[in-house]
Amino acid sequence: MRLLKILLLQFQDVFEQRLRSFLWFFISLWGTMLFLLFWRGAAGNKMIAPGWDFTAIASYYFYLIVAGSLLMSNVEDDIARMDIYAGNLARYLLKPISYMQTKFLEDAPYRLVKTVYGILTCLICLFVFGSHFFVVNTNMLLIPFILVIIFCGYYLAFLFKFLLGLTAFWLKDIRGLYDSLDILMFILAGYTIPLVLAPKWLANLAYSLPFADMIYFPIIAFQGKLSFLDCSIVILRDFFWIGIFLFFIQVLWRRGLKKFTAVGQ
Amino acid sequence: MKRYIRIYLMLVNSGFSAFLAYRPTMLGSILSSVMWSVFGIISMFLLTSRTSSVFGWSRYELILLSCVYNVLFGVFYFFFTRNFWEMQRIIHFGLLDSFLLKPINSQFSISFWYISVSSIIRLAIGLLATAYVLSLLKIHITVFVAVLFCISLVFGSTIMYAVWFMVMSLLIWKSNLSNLLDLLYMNNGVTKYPEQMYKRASIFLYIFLFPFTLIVVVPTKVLLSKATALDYGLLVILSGLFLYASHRFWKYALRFYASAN
Repeated sequence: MRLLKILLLQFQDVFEQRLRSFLWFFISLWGTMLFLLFWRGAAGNKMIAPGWDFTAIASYYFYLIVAGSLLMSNVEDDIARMDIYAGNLARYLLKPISYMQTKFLEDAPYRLVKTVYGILTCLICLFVFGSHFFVVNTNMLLIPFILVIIFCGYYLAFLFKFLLGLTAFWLKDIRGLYDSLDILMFILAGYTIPLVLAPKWLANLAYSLPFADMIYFPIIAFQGKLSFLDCSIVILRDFFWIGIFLFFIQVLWRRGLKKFTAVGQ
Repeated sequence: MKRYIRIYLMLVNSGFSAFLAYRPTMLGSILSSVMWSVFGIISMFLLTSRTSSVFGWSRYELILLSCVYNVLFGVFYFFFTRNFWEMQRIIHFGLLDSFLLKPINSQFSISFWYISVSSIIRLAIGLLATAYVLSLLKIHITVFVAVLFCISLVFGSTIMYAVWFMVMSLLIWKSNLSNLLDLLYMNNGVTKYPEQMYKRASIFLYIFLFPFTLIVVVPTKVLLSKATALDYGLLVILSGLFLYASHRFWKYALRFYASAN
């Protein structure tokens, strides 16, 4: 019940700044639309790769609008600047609820509101361009697997960004690191291009890192481009990365707290 | 004019000192600049990895476009972005008074007070990549073309500056919209694609984005010897118009400044 209250309070905060959260959504929408417009010229009527013509690519980018809003967390900046550098963490430490849980709940409303914007945009596109641009999985048996992949992507992104936020205990300037990782994510999570269309070496590199599990695999699973076996492998990988992140979060949290002075840095 | 140049040189000097004084911030900014400039080129490399030409531009011409994008934004970020970051804080916290009371033009002081030294890295990477791609395209650059390129960069940056300044002036009415700047950053991406991309999508979109399509495309066309007199003319006229509009809009917006956070 108290978790729900925190969530609802956070929703109030989001609704208070409606225009601001809409701008955040619009920023991600605009970037994705540029890629889409580019592919319109690059792909034309050609088949770019097996199973990937312009329709499939367009549907990937349409889903990316929703996935980018729902699955990607931006909690790291808040943790680093507001909580660790400005000393607000002390406020959270005094509460009878874990810091990570609170942050997870604080992060959720922003993502959900942006997702609603994303779904509305996709519905408008569906109405304007027609349903052939929205390739979806039609195998009902795969749906539970897809839902697990989406939830894992959501949680994985949060854990990764939370872990990143904790590095502020040691780093005096986090901008360089955050920008670098953002850029890596743009490429390796499948924001710039569906990874199947990327050069082989880059795709292999992306598959061996957790970023693709946050955005790329949830989208192509939703598109129905993953088999049972593929879905199972992705879920196992997700569990592996969640375990790794949780372990490092524990380590960094315990050590970081010892460095925290609660008066700001 | 002399006084403004003297003031600006002093500001640049203090900007360099501040940059060198905070080492972790300095390293962070350098890393960030390197990564963004490399990303700009790699993203175009990836997007064109399965095609040889798009919208009448060959693959290397498109990569050249993204290299010139880095050069232009290296220059633009060096002079302006730090100021726009500060502008949102200054307006939001009601600190604009100190700029308005100074015996210099307020648009000048709020636009040029800080510099982003690390953007020189972006400029350098952009220039090196441009030279490399030009060598791949077997294009030899004469002094005349280099001068024309620099002039078109200045006019392109002017359009960009004026648009950013007008958008940021909106903060006087809605100062909590701190992500306006992120929107502008994202909008920069519009400039690194050929204008035909927007023309094919929708004529309304093309008209709306037309000034942005000139900013990087014209300097690139200069290097490729494809720029026409119309391109130059439009770039010069639009940069003048936008600069004038930004000045008028700033004066108008200031009437609504409440001087309170």
